[in-house]
Amino acid sequence: MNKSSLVLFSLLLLASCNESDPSPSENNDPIPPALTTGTTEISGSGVDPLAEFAWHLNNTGQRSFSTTPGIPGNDLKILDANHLGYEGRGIRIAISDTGIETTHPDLSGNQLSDEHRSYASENPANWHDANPFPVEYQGHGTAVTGLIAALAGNGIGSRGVAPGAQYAGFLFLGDFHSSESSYEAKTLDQITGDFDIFNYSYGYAGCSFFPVSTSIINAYKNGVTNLRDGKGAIYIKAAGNEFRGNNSNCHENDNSTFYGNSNTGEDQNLPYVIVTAASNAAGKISSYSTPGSGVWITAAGGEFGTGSPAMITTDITGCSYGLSVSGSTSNTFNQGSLSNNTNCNYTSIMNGTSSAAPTLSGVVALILEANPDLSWRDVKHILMRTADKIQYSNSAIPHPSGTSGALVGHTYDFLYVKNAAGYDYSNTYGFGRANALRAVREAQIYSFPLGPYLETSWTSSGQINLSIPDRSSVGITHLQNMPSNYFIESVQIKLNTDHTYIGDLGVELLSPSGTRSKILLVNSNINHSGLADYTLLSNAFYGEVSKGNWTIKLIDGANQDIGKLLSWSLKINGHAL
Amino acid sequence: MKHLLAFMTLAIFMAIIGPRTNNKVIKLKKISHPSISDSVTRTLAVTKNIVPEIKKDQPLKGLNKIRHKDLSSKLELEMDRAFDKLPGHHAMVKNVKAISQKSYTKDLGPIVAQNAGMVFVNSNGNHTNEKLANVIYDKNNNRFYPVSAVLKIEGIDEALRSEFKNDGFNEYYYHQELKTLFIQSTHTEVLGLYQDLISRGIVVYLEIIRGHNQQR
Repeated sequence: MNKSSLVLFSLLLLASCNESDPSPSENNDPIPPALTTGTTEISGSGVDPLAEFAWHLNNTGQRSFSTTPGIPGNDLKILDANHLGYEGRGIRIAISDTGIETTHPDLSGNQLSDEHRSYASENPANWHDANPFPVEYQGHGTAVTGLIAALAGNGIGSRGVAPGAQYAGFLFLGDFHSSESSYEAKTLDQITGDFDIFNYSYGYAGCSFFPVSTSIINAYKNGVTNLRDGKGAIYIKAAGNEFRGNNSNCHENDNSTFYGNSNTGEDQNLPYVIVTAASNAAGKISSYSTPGSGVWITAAGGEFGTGSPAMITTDITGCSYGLSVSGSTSNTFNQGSLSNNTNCNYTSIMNGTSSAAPTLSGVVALILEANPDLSWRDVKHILMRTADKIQYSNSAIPHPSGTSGALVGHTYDFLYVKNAAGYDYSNTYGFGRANALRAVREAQIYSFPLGPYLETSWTSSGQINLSIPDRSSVGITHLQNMPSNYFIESVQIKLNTDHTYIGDLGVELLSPSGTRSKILLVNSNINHSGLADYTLLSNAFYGEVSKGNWTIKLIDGANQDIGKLLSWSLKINGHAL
Repeated sequence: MKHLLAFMTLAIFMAIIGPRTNNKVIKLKKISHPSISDSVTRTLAVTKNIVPEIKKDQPLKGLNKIRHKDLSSKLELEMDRAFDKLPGHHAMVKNVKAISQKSYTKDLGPIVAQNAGMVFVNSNGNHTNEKLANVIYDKNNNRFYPVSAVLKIEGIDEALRSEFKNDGFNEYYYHQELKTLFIQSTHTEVLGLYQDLISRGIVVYLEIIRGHNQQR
């Protein structure tokens, strides 16, 4: 990286893991006092031989089989929380993924053996109590499961964030679905069940906007309303790996760069889902982590395990399948050449927001063990309140394509924005990086400050038909009044536009209190023309009051394509003041 | 099947006209236009765990817009006018059908597009092949999407569910909490069944398979 580019991207801090960051900025609030718990011993301490490479548990500056060490302290404070006695005991987690090798010696002891599912069958009668083995031999689900619930103290491998939790594996991702059946029915089914946490390390490729059916939205709503005896299940979803991505996966003849947005999947635009970004061992955003105003929190995802640490976790046993295979070009650990991984049962190259989601699921398991009475919203509140504001700055983020791509007079984004309620929000990090120690202590003394959950109905602008000036920072603005006075927990908008290339557009929302949320960033290159009542989410207004005038602004960041804002709608989620 | 359909049709028609002899009132909702369950799913391509290392100092490419191929230049699309009331950006295509890439053989017709593990073929003269899924064209992103052979009906409680079963519908899946019933059909019969149910005022949804979730 040359010097000028280093300056240009220093605020994004995309991947320069060899840069030193001696003082990672953390939450400076005092840590709540530890209360006496029934268990103070960390189970199996010292007898998980690969745990020393798991920087997300306790970052000591280990290299984790890559060439560059992490920066000490940049972890999720997992071992600290474990030492308070919390390991996720009694918490039931559904892991919907590529399938799981449940007989793996580090995973078999924590499985809910009668509750696995397989959606590889087209016959719904065969979905439940089925073998979730990865029929396509992809190691992803086995790696995700190890990050959550690999056994502790059994003398092998690493350990999960919540080694006391129990999991059920759902074989859901794969090439086995057919158009004779219903993918929607499968999706609905795997949102439902007697679990505390649902881990979804998946999503749609962010090349386009993916609307989902009202049935799927209602299934999530049902889950947070009725599961866990009415306290609500916790749905945790990976934000995506699409920042600065090339598009060869989704566009036939063009490898152009696009920048992704967590708002491209409508099931990620729901207040019921915790969308998780990824950070690395240097305490910065992972280079691929998809930003967006729907991101709630950041957890550990790492980099690629070659130049900088990825994640140590379980892999499909043997050296023929999974991430660790004979002939792997990543490093000798993943070839099965080292004495601590001779059977390729573990990998050091798992990464992605796919890893961030399970590390957060593990943290949530610790929180729920600390206080089983917490609702889904209480968990979100605690995560938000106790997160470390890593890379804290209110500085502007430059356009990732450089000055030639930037619009004169327009700021691409800000790293953090302090809202009128005093909360710092970032499209990159959400409310910051999860801190398990602070979170479990907060859970112990939690005073349940949130009132009953309410959602306003959608208020619509009606037809406005405002033409958006082509490649201009001036844009168009439109204001509408929200009569309801809520404590805001999230805000959703629906956009109706006939613009012929949504990837040009920037969308901003200004609250009555003066906080600005950049909901879509200009020049995302997301390939879509027109949006018909597509829902977008912003978490940036948490704690503000909703009553008053809300202003939307649309700008067009590139020449050629044009369009109008036809109408827009607004909905507030929160509780009464 | 004709007899079965006639029987089902009669049964549903009876259901919506009023109380039955056992005094149960059937509460099937009426709608004014067909609906689409604009559902889920994405590419079938093998996905990667390992994303390449970050490309540092990437030159400006962001303003080189990404676009899909113009499908209309390859084939004159024949739209099914019976589905003119679908939402504005969707159109049912008569002369294009879909099949998974791995099941495609040349005799099914020439390929006009490929997307997310699916092959879209010019199906002229091949409308009755049960392997071939019906196809929606989405004007918003210039792409084809296959249509599932399963229909969805909302607002079905256990009593209504039983009636659908008794009336000969082939239940695919029932979501108890959401009171949502999925009915199994075939690619050759699903559009007819859909229109038949619509014409009787039943809220029924087609499922567009937009792709499958991918690991991240």
